Amino acid sequence: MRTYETTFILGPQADEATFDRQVKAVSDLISNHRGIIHKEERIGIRRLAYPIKKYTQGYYTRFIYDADNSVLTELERFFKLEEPYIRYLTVVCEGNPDGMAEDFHRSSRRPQAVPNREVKEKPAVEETPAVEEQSRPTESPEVNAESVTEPRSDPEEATEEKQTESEADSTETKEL
Amino acid sequence: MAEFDRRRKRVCRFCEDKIDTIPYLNDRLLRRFTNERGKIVPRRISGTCAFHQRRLTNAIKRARHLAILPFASEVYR
Repeated sequence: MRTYETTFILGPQADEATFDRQVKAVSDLISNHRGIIHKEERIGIRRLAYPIKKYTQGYYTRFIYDADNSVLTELERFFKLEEPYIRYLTVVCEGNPDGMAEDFHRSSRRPQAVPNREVKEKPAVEETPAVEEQSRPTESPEVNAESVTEPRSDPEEATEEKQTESEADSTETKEL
Repeated sequence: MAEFDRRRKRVCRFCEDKIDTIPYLNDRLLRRFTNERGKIVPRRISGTCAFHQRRLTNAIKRARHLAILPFASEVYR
C-alpha cells in the first residue's frame, strides 16, 4: 500500500452529469481494487497550455488515495481505452496530501490573506511593463542614498527597499 | 557594486517559504521559474538552491505533461 496521486484531464465537451459519471468511473475503479480514496479534487475546466487531441480546454480532476501498485496498471489501461480521458499523470504522493492541495489552491486562485511574499511578487508577474517603469526610477535614488551611508534606522524603509529590489529582479529574469 | 553583490545573494524562495514538495498544479508559481519561451530558468539566475531546483525541475516537467505549462511558447513556434 502506498499513497498515490492521480490527475487526469477530461475532454471539455460534456455537461456536469457526464463529468460526474466519468470521474466516478475512476473512483469506482480505485475502490474496487481495495484502494482508499482520501481526497477527490475537482479543479474544473481550465485552459490547456497546448492543444491535446484538438482540445484547448480540459476538465481537471485529482485523486489522492492509498492503493496497491496493481491498481496503477488497471488505471493506466482504463485511461488508454476510454476516449474522454485525454491526459493522466500518477505520482507517488510526497509529504502531507492536504498540504499539497492547500498550496495549489492558495495561488492558483487570487491570493487573499497569505504570506506577504505571494502578494509582493504578484504585480511583477501580471503587469510587467508597468512595474518596470515604476521600479527603475525609484531604485536608483535609493541606492544612491545608501552609498552616502545614511543610517538606516527605521525597519519600514528597509523592507520597502527589499521589495522594489525583488520586483526588479523578477522583471529581469522575465527579460532573459 | 554593493547593489551587484546583494543581487547575487538571492535566497532560495522555497527555503524561505519552507516548501519542500513543489505543487506541480500551481501554474502561477511555476511560471515564475520559466522564461517566456517556456524554458526552465537556471538557478544561477533564479537563486534557487540545488535541492529545490531539482524538485522544481521535476514539478515543471510534470506540469508540462498535464498541459499546465507549455513545452514551448506559442509566440515563438
